[in-house]
Amino acid sequence: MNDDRIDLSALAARQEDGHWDAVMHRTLQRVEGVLGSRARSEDPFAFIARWRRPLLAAAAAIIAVLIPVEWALERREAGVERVRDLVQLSGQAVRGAQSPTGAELLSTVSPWRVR
Amino acid sequence: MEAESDAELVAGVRQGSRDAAGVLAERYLRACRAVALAITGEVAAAEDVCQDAFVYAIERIDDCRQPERFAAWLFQITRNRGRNHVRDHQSNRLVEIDAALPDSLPSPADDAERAQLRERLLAALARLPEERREVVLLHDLEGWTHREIAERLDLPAGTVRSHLHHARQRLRGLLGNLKGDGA
Repeated sequence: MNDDRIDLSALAARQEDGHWDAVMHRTLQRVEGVLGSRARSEDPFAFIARWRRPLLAAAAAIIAVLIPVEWALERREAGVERVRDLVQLSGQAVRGAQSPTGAELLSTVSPWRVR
Repeated sequence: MEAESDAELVAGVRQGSRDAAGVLAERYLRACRAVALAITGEVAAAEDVCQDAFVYAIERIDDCRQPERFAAWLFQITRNRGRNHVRDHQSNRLVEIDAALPDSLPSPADDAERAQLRERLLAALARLPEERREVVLLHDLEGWTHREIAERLDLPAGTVRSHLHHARQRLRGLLGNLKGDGA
């Protein structure tokens, strides 16, 4: 395929008199200015864009931990309530000198009880 | 030592590395010039456009969504800038193509002849579709391979070959036998 090449060398960037080196040098000088000003004044949108991913990941991790913790706390709270009801039922039975029925006991300790 | 990938260099530029920007300039500024030349049809304008486009790309480096495809993104910026330049300088850009294409081709021996040859090449290139100009300039002038052009211009390899074939055929028809010696 190379043999078919058209000689376009007359259009090549001029090397002989340092012309292209000067173009490159000017470009890099401008780039240096741009990078310098980027460092000095941080664009708030760029800042947000850079931190967006880590923030989303952290939020997802927090949610992943909080959901089971919340669920466990709710279960624990329901257990405490059942114990309190049981104590109350026992107190009433002692005061009335009458033992609670099986149905009363079951409805007090059951996790699916209807209040 | 293995050359750093474009994605690594873009990450470096985002962190403020001048060296990374320098490597990207070494890698792509000439190709940028070729892309700009395909649009503006003027060497001086192409050099202005490629510098502006490269500096703009560095300025907006956070907008480069696919750092591994930095070249394609940079070339798109270059094309947009080139088109803006053409629009702003339309009246100065009329190429007298027939006057620029004499019957016989002088051998380039000095600056004047080189300048004349350059004008003839630019006039002939102006008759090609823009995409074919880009492909032939990147391949025959900058020495990029079909694969590099396909990857960096977002074109199928077959399309690159086809563009190159038709561009060369047309240029030969316009210019006569300009087959490269060492190329």
